[in-house]
Amino acid sequence: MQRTRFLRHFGFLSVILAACLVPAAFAAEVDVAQAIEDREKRAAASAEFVYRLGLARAQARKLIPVLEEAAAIHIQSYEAEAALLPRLIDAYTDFLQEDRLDKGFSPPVERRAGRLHQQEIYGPEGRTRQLMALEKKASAILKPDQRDFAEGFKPGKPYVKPKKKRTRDPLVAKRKELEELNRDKRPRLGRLGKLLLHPGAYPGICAKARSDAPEVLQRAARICANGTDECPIIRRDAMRLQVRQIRSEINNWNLINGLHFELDQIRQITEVYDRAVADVKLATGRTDPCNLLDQDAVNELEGIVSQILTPGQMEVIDIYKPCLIPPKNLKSPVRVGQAGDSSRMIHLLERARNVPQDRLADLAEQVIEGETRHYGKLADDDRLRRKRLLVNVARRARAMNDTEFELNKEDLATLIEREDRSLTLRGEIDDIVQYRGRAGLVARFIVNDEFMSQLKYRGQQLADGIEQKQANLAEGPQAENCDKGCAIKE
Amino acid sequence: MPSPMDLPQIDRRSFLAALGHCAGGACFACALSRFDYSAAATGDDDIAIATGLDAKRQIDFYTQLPDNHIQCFVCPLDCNLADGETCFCRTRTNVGGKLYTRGYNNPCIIRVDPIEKLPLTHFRPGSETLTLSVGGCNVRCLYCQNWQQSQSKPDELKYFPLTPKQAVAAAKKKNIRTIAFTYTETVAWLEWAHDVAVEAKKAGISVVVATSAYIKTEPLLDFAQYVDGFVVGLKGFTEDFYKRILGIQLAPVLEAIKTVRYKTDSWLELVNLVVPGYNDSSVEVQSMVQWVHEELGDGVPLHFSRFVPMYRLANVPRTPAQTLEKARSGALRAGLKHVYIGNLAPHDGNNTYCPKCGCPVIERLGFKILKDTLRRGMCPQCKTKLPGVWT
Repeated sequence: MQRTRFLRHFGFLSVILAACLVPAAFAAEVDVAQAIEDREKRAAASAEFVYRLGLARAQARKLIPVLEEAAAIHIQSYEAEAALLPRLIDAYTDFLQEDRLDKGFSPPVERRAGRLHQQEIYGPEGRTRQLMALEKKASAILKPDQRDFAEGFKPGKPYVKPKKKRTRDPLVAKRKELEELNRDKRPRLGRLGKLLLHPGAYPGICAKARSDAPEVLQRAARICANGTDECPIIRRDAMRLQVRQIRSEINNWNLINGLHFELDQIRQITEVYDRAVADVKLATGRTDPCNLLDQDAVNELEGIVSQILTPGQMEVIDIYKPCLIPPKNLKSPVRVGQAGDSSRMIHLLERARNVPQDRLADLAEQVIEGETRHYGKLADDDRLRRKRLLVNVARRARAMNDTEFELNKEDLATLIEREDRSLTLRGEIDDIVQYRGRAGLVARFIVNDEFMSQLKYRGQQLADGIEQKQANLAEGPQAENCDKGCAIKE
Repeated sequence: MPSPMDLPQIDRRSFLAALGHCAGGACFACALSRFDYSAAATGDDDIAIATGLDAKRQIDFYTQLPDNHIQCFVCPLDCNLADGETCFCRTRTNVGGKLYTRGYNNPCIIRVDPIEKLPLTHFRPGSETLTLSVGGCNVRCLYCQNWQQSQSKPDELKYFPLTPKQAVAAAKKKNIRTIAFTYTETVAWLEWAHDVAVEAKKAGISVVVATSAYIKTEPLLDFAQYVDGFVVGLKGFTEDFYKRILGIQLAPVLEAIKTVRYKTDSWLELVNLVVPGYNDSSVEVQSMVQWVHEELGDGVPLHFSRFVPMYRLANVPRTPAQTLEKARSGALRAGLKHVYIGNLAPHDGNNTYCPKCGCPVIERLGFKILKDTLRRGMCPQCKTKLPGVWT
């Protein structure tokens, strides 16, 4: 075969292959490209920040030891993530398989996924805390106007001193409150830390200090740009993306499993969705694989889907939070005739009854600290008030005898139960949003391509029916009976 | 003696500040007085309560045999005990030729629950019960979800001394109108349950019981006169299932259910825990439904509950929703008017429907009531009266 002919032939085949693969790979490639762009933007923003900050040479010199520590944390962070991601993918994939079947989770799979999920959250959080400490050190080296500059810095734009915007729009105010609440649930690095401690800032600072960059800084900058030999950054990004996709699929399955759709409902919902998508395709001629529906169509569909859902299902959607391991009320609701379902607060009171009196305040502090992760941070006054309440109620619980406590524990627990403000806010935002004719929770969770394809899969599972195998009662464990006499000897 | 003029001078501002502090103090004291630290919910305090065998509560249904032997007549097991031996239920002990309960005054569970948790859907829906339970059980279900309590002697568990009078006083103090016996088998600690029920009746408080109904007719009728509602676990419909999985017989259970239905004034609901592969065959479910329809009538509510891996059947998967839906639709087709699905929410099978016009009169999400349009037990649309205890 001639070389040119071969190349033409090869090119033709490539086009066909690409045409087949593009729809499937399209979204993933877009996301990977986005990740690369974001990373490059962050590095460029840090470099620009250092350039415009006006660091004195002495300041830059003082900053270098801080940067060395930060660089070590960045390296460690990258290596830890690169090691964790493949394990996460494995564990989440197993979890996903079981979630898809809706037969409950086997304990080893659930435990493994839960444990790695904890690592996924707590590992970066620990490192963020370390970086926050370094941010403080760095902040102390800067002058007040430099710190202000960090707050108002926007890459590529002239510096404008930030002003507090006031808004009368309740939606904006509530969204802001929710955002702040969610942000407070995890430790977060300030703006200065993000810009100054980022490896993109290192070359600029070393240049200001007129010194060679220490090896650790150079390595961190290299890793930030290219990754390590064992795990190049492209691979890390792809793995991150894969984890995100699996998680998103798991979130959808958790909701589908929790809503207990009936086959008829699934048929109705998927039919109206498919019809809407077909209409858009017909009208616009678009065939791209992403979500095609515009906001108006989504809003309209939300109304229709809400009509198909039962009030009970709507209630579940209202309180649903995307999750890996479904909350108790979705996964294993309190069952008829089941005794052991005490709330967290009752367990806490039981604990408070058993610790020495002088440890009550510490226990209350621990509780408040633990609650921050779920409910967000409390203002100092509120924190003090909550601590006082916890200690007072714990004292009441301690003053009771066992029987009194059993009789009153639910009431006491109600006294110290904390409202989930983020859930309340989300509900309020949803109400306003829907009132203004925009998409609400049903649209957000259900009216999208991914959810619909999973819902169709569930519909198929239901249509195929369940395999009914009868157990042989003679095999397996047998209940004890009175055949050999009933009496129990002491 | 100092004259009034010699007293320290106080300006208007200081006087007002002092007054403010006094008022604040008074408010604080007032708030403290409303804060019930003692929370003496149990009535007569500081009296040592005799529990278990120390309470010296004899069993009402037994006969003495020669050589200090005893035959218990509470349940169909008919335990024959030598001196010092305990019944199969772990709660009745032969002490010197007399049969005493170990389960008196010592509940291991005291809590407030929604009545739907028993599950009772036609008995004051949405109300709360003071739920009491003592350790022990005369059944050996392999899938028991409270096996820690049911498969132990009452005195082996952490228990909370509570006399019948105190139990009733506690319910009244909490403004709860119903006392429920559930979680373990009431038949095992019938004597305490009986005495609580007697006190409750005197105080105008209702009593409801969740039971496997493995009990003889005489003790059942004696107890039932103080009981307002029964939920009977009809756990399967073959003798083989009952013997191998529960360790007892089916026939006496069916007899007891009929006794409750026709010889007492108590409200009756049935619950069937559907265990996949064990008691979920169409034939078994259909025969059960047919028996309920023919022997008890179409108005007795029947609950199909989802099984969740538990105790010695931990390797059996949970019941698929479709199995429950199939059982429910079969029961409705067979003519039963009120068939529910339990342990699976949200589901339409959680709701109560009018048997005539089919409109949902009580909408539920599990145990939670979302909407109750029933008015004095009547459908708001067609005014059909639904069976049950609604007030």
